[in-house]
Amino acid sequence: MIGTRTLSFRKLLLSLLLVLCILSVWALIIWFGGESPFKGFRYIIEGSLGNHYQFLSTLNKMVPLILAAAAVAVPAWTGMWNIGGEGQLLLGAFGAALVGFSIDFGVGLVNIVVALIVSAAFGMAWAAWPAFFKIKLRMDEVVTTLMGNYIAAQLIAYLINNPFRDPRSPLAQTPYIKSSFVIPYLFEGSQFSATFFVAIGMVLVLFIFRKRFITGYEFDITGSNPVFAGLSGIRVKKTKLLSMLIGGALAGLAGGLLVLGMTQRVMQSFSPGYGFTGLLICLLAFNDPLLIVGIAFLFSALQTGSVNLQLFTSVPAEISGVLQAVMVLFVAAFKTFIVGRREG
Amino acid sequence: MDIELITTLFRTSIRMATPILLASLGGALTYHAGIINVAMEGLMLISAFFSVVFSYLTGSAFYGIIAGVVASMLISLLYSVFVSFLKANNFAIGFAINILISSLTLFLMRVMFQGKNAFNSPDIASIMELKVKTGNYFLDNYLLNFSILTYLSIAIAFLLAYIIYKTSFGLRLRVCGEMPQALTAAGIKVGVIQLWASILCGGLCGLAGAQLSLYNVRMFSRDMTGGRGFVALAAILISGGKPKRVLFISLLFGLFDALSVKLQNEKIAPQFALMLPYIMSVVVLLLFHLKTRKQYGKA
Repeated sequence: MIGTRTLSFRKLLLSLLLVLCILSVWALIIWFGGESPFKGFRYIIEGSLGNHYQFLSTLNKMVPLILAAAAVAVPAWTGMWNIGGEGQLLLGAFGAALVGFSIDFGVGLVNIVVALIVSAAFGMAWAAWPAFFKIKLRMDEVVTTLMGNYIAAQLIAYLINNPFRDPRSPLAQTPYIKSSFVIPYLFEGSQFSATFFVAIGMVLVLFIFRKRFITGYEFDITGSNPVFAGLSGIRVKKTKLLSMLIGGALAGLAGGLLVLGMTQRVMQSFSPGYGFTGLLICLLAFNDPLLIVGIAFLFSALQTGSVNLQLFTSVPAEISGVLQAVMVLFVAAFKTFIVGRREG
Repeated sequence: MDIELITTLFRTSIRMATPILLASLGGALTYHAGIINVAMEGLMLISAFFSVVFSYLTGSAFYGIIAGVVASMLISLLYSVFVSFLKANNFAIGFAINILISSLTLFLMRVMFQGKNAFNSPDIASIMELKVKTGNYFLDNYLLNFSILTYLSIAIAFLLAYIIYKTSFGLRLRVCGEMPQALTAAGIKVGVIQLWASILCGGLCGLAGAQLSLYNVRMFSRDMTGGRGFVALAAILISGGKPKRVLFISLLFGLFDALSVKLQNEKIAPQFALMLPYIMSVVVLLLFHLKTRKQYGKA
């Protein structure tokens, strides 16, 4: 008893040290950016949580981050690396926009559901070929999914420049989606919409799927010990393929929700790197769906807060990316001592 | 095809192949030591940034290269400490480092130069070319005026082929990847060998980044490595880390880059030209895997 208690005391101490380390390095970075750290932290907190508009804005920015992180997490359960979230998200966004400006079923809800399904399908298709090559030919999925991002970015750039360009716009972008496809804002003066609840709902579904369904359990077994999984009758390759497809669909859905809930069209530089921020979130959350929500909230607050920081000081908003990545490295360093050494 | 086109393509291929070659030679070292290095993208990027900064500040490309190499080696050291000593997952740390450097370089560029997405200046000194005049027009124009790093990279390829397969360090390196227990049994620390491989890899990726930003374009722009670290990774996987094969595959990927540059001036949509190198690296990887699968099938 005493042994476990002292052990947990040590863990607590290490965790505090970890938080202290992260905060002090963050302070250093803010100081390097040209602002006193305390003021910097205040601007970040005020800008993300200060009043209810900013709080809603932080919640709203969580939507693509949660789904992009889940798109990495689900394949990671079976031991697959999905680095292609960025490309899958772009294709999903385009899929939703394509449905949104070309078809109309007459009923708003049907429209939205169809557009979201198409966006998930587009994302899934973009994850399908790396997954297929991986299980058939053992082609490294890290390389193929990553190359997929660059290919998708150029493909979308082509599509919105040529065949699907809005003829009335001087910029390369698709036409606006029809108003019956738009997921309306819930509060005046804020872009917060029901998309947030869709993202949270997906996380809950994933959580229950992992804990309460046999397939979800098979995902975990395949990831932790593929040989044992194979011997106990799990079709390892099929499980891996399925996890990757689900991951692609989640990333595609993120793109679809962004189009229907916020941008209402696809334009150049649609994603400021949601896929990679999602990857960082997933790494910090150790692939756990519920932790993803917490970390996504923190990351989103850092992003909205950094915009506020740039508004009032000389520190550029790009600081949020540095703060996020530094946090991941520190947690990875301390994880060895707090949780113990473990593969994966 | 006229001779002008062929020579232009040839020159551009060599120019574009050099950073890929340098990075994949570095990655080959860690590959043999048992680490699939996904941080090469970030290593090249940090070097590209600091090469430009120091070349701009000192007016000397040499100091630029040194700064880039040192920065890249330091990050590589960090990577190795995480992977070899803290036993963190190499993919996780690699990507965390890549994303860190992508945003760090952007952040530093804004803070130091108020640049938006790119920094260029006439004061950035470019890497010198080999200045030898033989009097032979063909030789002078098509073989002897590349960046000095190009010649260095080819020399390094042969040097590494020797080191990996003919020296005791090379032997330890390969054992480290294939049977680390044997190394431990012989009283050699696996982590130390991996550390050295990573530091050398950092140095080579540093040279690669310098070639990119001080010769190929002479500026720094956001995420300017554009996935070359992963093209290099593909080259390593295809070649099995054998330096002479790496040389050949890098030249092939350089050719695709050159074709991409060339096609951007043609009638087809530029996006397809820009896509080409990425598609081709996937295609080459695919062909390689199809071929190896056939061999397994026969055996």
